[in-house]
Amino acid sequence: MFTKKEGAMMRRVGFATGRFAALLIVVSAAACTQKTPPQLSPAGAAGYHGYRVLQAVAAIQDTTIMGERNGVIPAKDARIVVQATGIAGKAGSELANALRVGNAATDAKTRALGIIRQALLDVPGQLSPETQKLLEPYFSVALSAISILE
Amino acid sequence: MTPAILAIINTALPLLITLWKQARSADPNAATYTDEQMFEMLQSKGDEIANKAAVWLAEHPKV
Repeated sequence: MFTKKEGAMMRRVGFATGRFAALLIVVSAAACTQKTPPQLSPAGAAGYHGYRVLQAVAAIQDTTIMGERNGVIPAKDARIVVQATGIAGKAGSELANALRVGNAATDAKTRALGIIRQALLDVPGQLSPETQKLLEPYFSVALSAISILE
Repeated sequence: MTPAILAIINTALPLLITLWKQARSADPNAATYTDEQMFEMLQSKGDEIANKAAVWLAEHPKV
């Protein structure tokens, strides 16, 4: 019915098909085991962004403390910045509590965000031009992170 | 042999490319935490910043 050559070709095709099926199984298994991040609720997502805001605030604080220690930032400026970061930190904790309570706490969330925003907005204008120039990128990051939440 | 290879390439390659693109488009920084973990992290970061500020201010009294 088939020539020898045809039979050999059909065997090879069969073998290739088998390998293809094996490949499909491996790829599907890999796709299934790929870890997908769990979905956060809107409150959880707000917490995530809030955390990123506080990371930026922590960077401002650390840079300021280090700058003051190394004589790059005057103590007067450092005091203003550290005070503001302290206020923002407290408001961050309040934000976490507000988000935990749920949607009913929208006012508390807005208030906490307002405090963080105001604390950061007021600071650059009170600093010496040198310090202002040094910390400006950090404040921009923090403020743009807040704008995502508002 | 050639048609089999072509068939494999035609089917498997787009599949592999799609999976590759999918893996690449996944945000590596996406949150992989639960809500409660996020709140906990937010709160502890806030407390940490507030405490650090309080300690620094106490060590550097206004003159």
